[in-house]
Amino acid sequence: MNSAAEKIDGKNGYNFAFLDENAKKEIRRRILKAISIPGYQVPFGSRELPIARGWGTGGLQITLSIIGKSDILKVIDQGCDDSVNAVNIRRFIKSVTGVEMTTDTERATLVQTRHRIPEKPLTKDQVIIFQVPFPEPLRTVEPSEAETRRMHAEADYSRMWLYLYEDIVKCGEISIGARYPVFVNNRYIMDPSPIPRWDIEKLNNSECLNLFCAGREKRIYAIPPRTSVKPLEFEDFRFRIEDFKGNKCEKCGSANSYLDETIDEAAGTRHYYCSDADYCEKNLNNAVRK
Amino acid sequence: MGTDIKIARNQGTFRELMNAFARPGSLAAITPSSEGLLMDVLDVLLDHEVSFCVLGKNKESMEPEITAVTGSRTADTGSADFVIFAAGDTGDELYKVKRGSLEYPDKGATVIYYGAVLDENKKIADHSFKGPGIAAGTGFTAPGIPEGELKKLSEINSEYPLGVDTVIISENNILCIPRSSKIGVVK
Repeated sequence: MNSAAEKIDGKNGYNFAFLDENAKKEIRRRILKAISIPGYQVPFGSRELPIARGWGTGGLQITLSIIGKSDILKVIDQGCDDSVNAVNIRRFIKSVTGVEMTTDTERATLVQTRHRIPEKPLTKDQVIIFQVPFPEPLRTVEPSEAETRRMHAEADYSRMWLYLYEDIVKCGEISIGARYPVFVNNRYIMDPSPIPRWDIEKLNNSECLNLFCAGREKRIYAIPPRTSVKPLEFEDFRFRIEDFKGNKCEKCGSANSYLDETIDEAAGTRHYYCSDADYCEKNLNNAVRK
Repeated sequence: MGTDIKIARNQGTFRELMNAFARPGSLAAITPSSEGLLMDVLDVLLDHEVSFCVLGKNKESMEPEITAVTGSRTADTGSADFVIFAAGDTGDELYKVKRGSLEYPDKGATVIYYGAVLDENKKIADHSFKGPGIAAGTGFTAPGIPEGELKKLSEINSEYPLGVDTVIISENNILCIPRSSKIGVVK
């Protein structure tokens, strides 16, 4: 229980950043262990929040545990600042912290994200927090938690390699799109959350701290700055990113960003737009100025 | 919305601690409260769910004080989650600190040295660093932490991911050495 001295005038009497201070303490301790052992999944006691599990409660708990009054927060969902999940999370955090919100990637000190990394490289003064639905990359090949824990402990990843090999034999391609498994610090195989392959390279030797949390699965893990992150690949079958076949964003004209594909069923045509809404808007504004 | 001073201070101290863990070898400057920086750090990390022990001459006076402030319980060196040493030679005690298991390496303890001297302005580092979070050429100097002590830490962390994570605290600076860091000596 918090002492009276620890109470603050949060919205409707809630503690600053909603979580009680002991909950924050536990999550903070786990974050430090996660940073100390890059790629290792640290178990933690996931708390109840006023949103359903599976809708970003992991990322939310990390954000609420580290956020301070001077932070500027950006929340994105699939690169977009205005989707329902991002808007709801942003409104909730605003209501229990009062911190400034932004859609500008460069201004943000904290970025909470669902399934994308902003196109603009993040800096050493920024922290990105990933919402993770399935933290265990080996679950595809092994249903038992005890067994996957043993596999990580012994770095026994042969079944994962075999799975990738069989995928190539069956499909002529590794069929994993998002959630492509990566090797972190040459030790742990890690699930980078359902970011597209396009974003994997941004994790490698990044300047920012990357924090991952799965609220439903109760796991926290991290990639510190300047840490080796390599996608799993074979010497004769290299990892490759999405190919947009020369298409460009129809709004800003960018050919260097991850594109969302939409299909106009009535006209039978495909359209491409930047997934990163802030990146696209800045490109448009720059074009108008010129 | 007014924020309580203690909550804000704990959050600020944690962020510096988190950045220091993410960037081993970098000094995090923190303005301590009247309790001192060691107690500020302990107040961020300790509660009734974890255990600690203090080793050295101040054990009798510090342990009750830490329990009173944080609610954490004491334990012996081999089972404590946080082991607190005065900066200096710790003898063989460091070898007793728990290092976790291969299934749960996060059970390894956090070792805290207090009363160290961390000199931000000293340009020539005594110790080099390699590992996650560390820019090429990063080094550090920590007078008061004997050479042998750092060698012991290297030895304890040699079976990564087993090991301990270290926080060195001076009057107003923090330096962190997670188990993923390799410590060398600058000749």
